Amino acid sequence: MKIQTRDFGELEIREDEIIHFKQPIFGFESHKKFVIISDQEIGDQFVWLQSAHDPSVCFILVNIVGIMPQYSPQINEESLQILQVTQPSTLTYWTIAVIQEDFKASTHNLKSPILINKANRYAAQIILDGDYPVRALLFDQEEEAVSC
Amino acid sequence: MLILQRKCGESIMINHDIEITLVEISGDKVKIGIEAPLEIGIYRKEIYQIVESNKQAATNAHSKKLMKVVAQMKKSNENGSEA
Repeated sequence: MKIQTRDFGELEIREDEIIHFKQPIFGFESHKKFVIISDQEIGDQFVWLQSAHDPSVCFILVNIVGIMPQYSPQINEESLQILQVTQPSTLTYWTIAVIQEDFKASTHNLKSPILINKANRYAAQIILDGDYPVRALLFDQEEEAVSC
Repeated sequence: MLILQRKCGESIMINHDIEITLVEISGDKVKIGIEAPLEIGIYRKEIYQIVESNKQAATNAHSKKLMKVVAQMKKSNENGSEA
């Protein structure tokens, strides 16, 4: 099938590439199907989560474990059931980024990550119990890494 | 803040299309029923904060900038970590 994207024009997508949100992104309850778009230039640290329903709805996701290896939130049993996780290794964690004009002010949401089960492409945005910020600065660690 | 006293089962109206009913009280928990048009967003406040952040994320137009900056970072990282 063909879908229209916000940043990449029209793309041909296979049915088995579609991510199904079993627990929707808050505020985007009518958007159940998304596709992940990655860009070679950028690598796998950031991907685009494009709604298959509406070209104007597109999120930038951060491969959170890549930049914060210590991020290992407690996922409750209910979420694991919704995503039908049978093996923990198929579960991937992403945070939603808000990119700002002033790039260093960009943030991402550690409180409510996106979980995607690679095995069935079921996804959910969950809310963690712990004390995680909704708007954490995104480039804190990146910058240190670069300047080292 | 407007404060109204209501008994269980009683309601208040906001405008003429939003009805809020006190459904059940037990200990320090209150169940509230809300009838409102579909297009009205209703969220627990802690979720509302997340909704607002999501909305900002979905509509932000700086993805081209992200591509540029990250590509640069990647380059300087690769150059720096070769040694």
